[in-house]
Amino acid sequence: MEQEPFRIIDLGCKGMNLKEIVDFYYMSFDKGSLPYICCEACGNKFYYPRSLCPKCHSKQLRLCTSTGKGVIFSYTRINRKEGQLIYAIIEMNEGFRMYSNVEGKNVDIGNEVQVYFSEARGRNYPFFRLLG
Amino acid sequence: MISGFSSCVYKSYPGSTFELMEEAVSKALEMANLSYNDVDGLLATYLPGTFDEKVHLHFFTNQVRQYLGIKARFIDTIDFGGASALAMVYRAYKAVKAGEADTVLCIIGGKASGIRSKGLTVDSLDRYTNDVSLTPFDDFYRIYGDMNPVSDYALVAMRHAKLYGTSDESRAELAVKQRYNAKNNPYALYKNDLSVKDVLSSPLISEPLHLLEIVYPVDGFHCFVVSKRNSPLYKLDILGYGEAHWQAMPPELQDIVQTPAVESSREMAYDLSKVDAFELYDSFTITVMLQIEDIGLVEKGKVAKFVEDKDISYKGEVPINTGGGSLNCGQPAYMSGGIILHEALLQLNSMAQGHQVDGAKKIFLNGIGGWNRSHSVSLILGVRE
Repeated sequence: MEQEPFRIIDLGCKGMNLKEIVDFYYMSFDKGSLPYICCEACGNKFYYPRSLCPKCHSKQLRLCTSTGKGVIFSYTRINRKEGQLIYAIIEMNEGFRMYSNVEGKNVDIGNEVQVYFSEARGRNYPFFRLLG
Repeated sequence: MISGFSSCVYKSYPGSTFELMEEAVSKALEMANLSYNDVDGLLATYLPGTFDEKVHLHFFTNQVRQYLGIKARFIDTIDFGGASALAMVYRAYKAVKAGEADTVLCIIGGKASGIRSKGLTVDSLDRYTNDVSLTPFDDFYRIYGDMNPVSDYALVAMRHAKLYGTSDESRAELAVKQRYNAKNNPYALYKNDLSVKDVLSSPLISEPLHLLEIVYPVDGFHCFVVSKRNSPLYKLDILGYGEAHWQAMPPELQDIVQTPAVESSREMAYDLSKVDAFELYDSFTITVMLQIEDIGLVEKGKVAKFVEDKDISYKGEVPINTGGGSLNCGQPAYMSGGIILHEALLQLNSMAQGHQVDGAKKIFLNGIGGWNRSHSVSLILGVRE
């Protein structure tokens, strides 16, 4: 599926509440785009939703959409009775990082990945697969 | 200062958690030559799911006091996971110095066997009941099937290996060297010979961490009595202390190969060459290796060579985890710096049967806590000259 081009959604969200942010996240997942938050005051980019910037504590936040491309920052193959899965930290090209799963062979730190969306616990969530 | 201490550890304790706790407290008070009526302070750590499998104990310190029959004028709880025990004795020491209490019990532990039998840990109780949260962001990462804390430390070990070439063999070597220290420790659960090959052929739980690089959760309590009263033990002092508590989710850290021990140890600015032994919290092999770097025994990225070259045995040039650590003594209630503090007190009181460090007068301890390594406490305990 063709990814939407990089764009910024400015909701004029000074003092936006957490529910609005989380709703935007799930709406983005449903549309197949990966959201993140950019602090207007200090430029910090982060994924885990908060109503203030955890670095400078400004509430002037902007909801953004990632290109969906990144690299593996670290990963581990977890072996469970039910099977093996790859749990990873992904560093997105915009600079923020998040946990996810990675699909593919030859998984290694630094390898490029692309987001895709799939259902888990009744909702859509971002997952990654190796590029190339 | 520390007038009595105890360790009551079982692979699986059949009775109530309150009873197990009582056993540890009574034993520590007996060593201190003190009675329950002398106690007027309490510091305790509550670890979810480890008190008769209850997720939560309402008014926890009340319940502890109701069971033991302790009237107090100083009470607090500490919630730093593997860094808790060290923070507790420091706070108790300050309270006694300030006259807020004369005798403070520091109690840490619980029963791990109950939740273990359900295939859970204290870091995965949310999979048992919706009434537990681990972070404010659980909805955005728990879907990915992590096995924290193992998988969290696995991510660190994997990145450490990639950045610095730290091999599986070097982590295994650390486990082997700690096992050597455990061999003559009466408190150790695991004492049989261990080779690098044994470690690396044990099941790969969360790559690159193997089963024998991971602590075994047990049932148990440690109790430390901090008192202004005289006791049969040597007079000890806190020669250095530092805390650091990081707030970021691991992906949000500048890098994951550093721990807050970088800051908690720096606060003390202590000459490490004057330290006789190091007790470093060892939830996993990589945990010890991160601390060896972060407290400044060797620079970041060089720990593999340090482990290979140095004799870290209790007879060696840089004794580390002189009783074999939690990797060999078990980990009460899934997290506890109690094991390392107990070992340091054995050493400083010349009570470390079979594994005594000659002339141990100053010991550096470091505890790391939180599945995401958010807490670090550094402490130097020494015999008062």
